[in-house]
Amino acid sequence: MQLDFHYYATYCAAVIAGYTHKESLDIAYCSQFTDCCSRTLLSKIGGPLSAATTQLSLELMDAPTDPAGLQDITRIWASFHFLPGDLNAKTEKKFGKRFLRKYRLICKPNGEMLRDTVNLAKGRGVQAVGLAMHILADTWAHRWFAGTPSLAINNTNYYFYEYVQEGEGFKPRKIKFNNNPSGIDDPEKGIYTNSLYQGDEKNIMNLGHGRAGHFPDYSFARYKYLPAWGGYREIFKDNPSDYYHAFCQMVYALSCLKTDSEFLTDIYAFDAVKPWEAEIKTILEKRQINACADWKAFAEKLSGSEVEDFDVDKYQKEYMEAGNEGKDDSFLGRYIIASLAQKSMVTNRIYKSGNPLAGESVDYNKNRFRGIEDFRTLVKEFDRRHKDD
Amino acid sequence: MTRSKRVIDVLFGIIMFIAGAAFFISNVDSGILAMLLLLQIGMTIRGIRALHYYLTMARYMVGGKRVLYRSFILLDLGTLAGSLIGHRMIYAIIYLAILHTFVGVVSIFRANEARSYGAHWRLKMAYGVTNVLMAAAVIVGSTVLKQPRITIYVYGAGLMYSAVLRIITAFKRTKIVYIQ
Repeated sequence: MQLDFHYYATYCAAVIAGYTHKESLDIAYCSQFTDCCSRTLLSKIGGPLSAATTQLSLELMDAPTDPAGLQDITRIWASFHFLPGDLNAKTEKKFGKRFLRKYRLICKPNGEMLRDTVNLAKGRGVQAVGLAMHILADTWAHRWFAGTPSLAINNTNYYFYEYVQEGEGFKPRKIKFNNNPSGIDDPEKGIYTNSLYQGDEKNIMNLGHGRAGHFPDYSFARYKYLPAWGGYREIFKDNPSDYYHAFCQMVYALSCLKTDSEFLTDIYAFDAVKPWEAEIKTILEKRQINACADWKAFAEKLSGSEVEDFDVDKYQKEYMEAGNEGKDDSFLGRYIIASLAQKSMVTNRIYKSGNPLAGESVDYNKNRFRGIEDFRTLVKEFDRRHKDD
Repeated sequence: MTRSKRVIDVLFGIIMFIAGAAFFISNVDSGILAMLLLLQIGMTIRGIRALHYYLTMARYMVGGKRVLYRSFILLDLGTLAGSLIGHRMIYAIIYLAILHTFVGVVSIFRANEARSYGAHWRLKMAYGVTNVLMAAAVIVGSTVLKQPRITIYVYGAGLMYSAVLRIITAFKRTKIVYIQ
């Protein structure tokens, strides 16, 4: 998903769920910030590098692909953009352990970890709420791809068709992919940019939906293709429907977080969204590579307030100017804690399932801190919360 | 990272470092021979690994046959490099020049990106420029100055640098702390 959904649509979902204009803006900001919080940005503001929720293209090109480097990449992408749907999934054919480990990282909506993600955000402020909404929304857009570099899972081939409207119905049209990174997607002609084919299983080009380019991130996309892992069985993906489900699930999740009630999977706030269903579906179906203007107009109509454009720098100065003691209480400080907590939880679940791809997780030991130093921030937060209780 | 993996990485790093240092004291002929031999071994290992990957993972994968063909090509290249030992070092020069240019250019782009974000960039830039200069030294040293020793030095330095990185990584904390 892109800025249009992660920022403007998330704002709309928050307003419908009953948050104030200011709270909704902050939730939307944190949702979109998840696509910006790279190590480069954290290095600029002086934040802990382990809190990175994304990697810039060049950071990825430069990332080591030794086991430790791959675990780092997997932690970032599986925790925040490709939340695994079933860590104990089984395949029909008998594959080896290596394949199964990657197969189990395939992103799907309504997994157990989604429930844990939303519930983890409780009591951690709007920052954690926004972060959780980003992850929830991405489970719908990034479905069937895994947040780890893997040719055997994420590769696609020439069999990739988009369904375009023709008269009353839809007709499949073959998609032309090109590898020019500066190329602009052209939905009218069906030309999209994707990552270069690389035969190495662990090559960074094989991360997530890179081989299908940005195409899965467009809300209007209806397509069929052969996923590398699917044994030559095609998959049909209906983004307008999936994105509508994502929106309604966000409204439900936000209501749960607002009322401090338990979030359960596979529940959607269809009734609450009903009055705006036609309007939302019109935006989702419109063939455009950037739906920000439409979502913004809808957002302002919905709340009756002006919705400012996303500004990545908005809270950085506050964080940089806060002293060491005050950083954790600043806006971005709270976001950083939320992202560390999410990464810690997802790594733990993957590790406990017997899968080493996201690295090793150790339980906090008061007597001896074992692990990456940046996670001391989480320990401090844990102590603070306990004191408050 | 498991403890045994760390131990293996440190040992391998030490061996790599010693091998890299040996290039600085070896004579030109044996240096070139060792370089081509290492290239051949590397290519052959990659070929075998690709074949193993095909058999264990890519067999049922959409487009998996390409992996099989790739493994054959790599194995062939490994054999070819072996047949060239003692004859031509142009392949080693091309390999080294492409490798260092690629690493250097990516680093320079990364540094520029970091600079545009206001983040630390100087070290990355220095690393990138050094790599590009090393690539240039390999080409100019071998073709214009007719000094094949430069190629051997660059290869040795690269090995030593990778060895140091491997050892440092082995000592890094990698565990993620989880609080119930």
